[in-house]
Amino acid sequence: MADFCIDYYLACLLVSMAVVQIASRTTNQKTLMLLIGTKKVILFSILLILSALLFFFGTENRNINDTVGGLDANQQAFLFTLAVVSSIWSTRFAVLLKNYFVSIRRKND
Amino acid sequence: MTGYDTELFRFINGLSGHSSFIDEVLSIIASDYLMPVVTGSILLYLWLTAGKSICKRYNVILCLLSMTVATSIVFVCNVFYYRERPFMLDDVNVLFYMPTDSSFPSNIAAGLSALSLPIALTHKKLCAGALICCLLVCLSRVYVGIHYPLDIFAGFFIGFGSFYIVKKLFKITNPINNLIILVTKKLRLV
Repeated sequence: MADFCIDYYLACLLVSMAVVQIASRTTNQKTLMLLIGTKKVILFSILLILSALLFFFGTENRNINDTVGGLDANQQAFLFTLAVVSSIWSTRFAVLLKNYFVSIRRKND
Repeated sequence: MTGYDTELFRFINGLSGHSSFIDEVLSIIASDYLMPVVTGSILLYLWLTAGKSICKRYNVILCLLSMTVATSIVFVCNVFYYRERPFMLDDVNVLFYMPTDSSFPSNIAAGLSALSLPIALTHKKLCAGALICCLLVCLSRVYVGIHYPLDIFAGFFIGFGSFYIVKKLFKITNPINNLIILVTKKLRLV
């Protein structure tokens, strides 16, 4: 059960990180943009989505009833929301870190 | 009516079992975990690209409220009416786990259609995409042998009805909607 929750959370996290990148590229939101260039963003997002699909559906049989170890609708909604929030926060943090290191490199140059 | 329903079910379900690849793909599409995430991702995209438009943010909240109402209606229906799943019939190809709750109306059809329909108010193309996902999951659920077509139609009807009800009563929920937007701003999710 716990393993299933973690797997679902990780898959949702990867998918929502991809959506965050596509959305930030569409609206040019610099606080959420990890990569520069539309092609790079699309490729990165496709990679994230494919890896989430392969990781979740390719490793185990996921057609399990919620009474025997699957997730019910409430658990799914909670984990999806948690994944969305953590993907936005982690992307913000990653962008901050990236900007910090870029500024340090510029100072050194 | 149920005779036609069973015939249509047998026709769609009879298509399964010929190609293991198609069976595998459709059982993944029918799963509880794929299409809800796809539709949720569409909502996340709408939320993040809303910018300063309060209407677009309200639209995402409308989708979630509409889905909540639809699944609540299905829950109430299941308390009063129970219909056996189609895999209880003879000679059915079952490619899925066997759910124990009522077959009628389809919970996933109601929930996903209620979630997808309000998107049309701000983004017609994304709404079409979400509805195609919804149709795909509903058809695959008949294909894998866990729903009758009538369950799906009833689910769509409930989804459309709850969208209509929530849209009409949306102004009443404005204080809650504003609170949600305020909380998401504080959490830096906007």
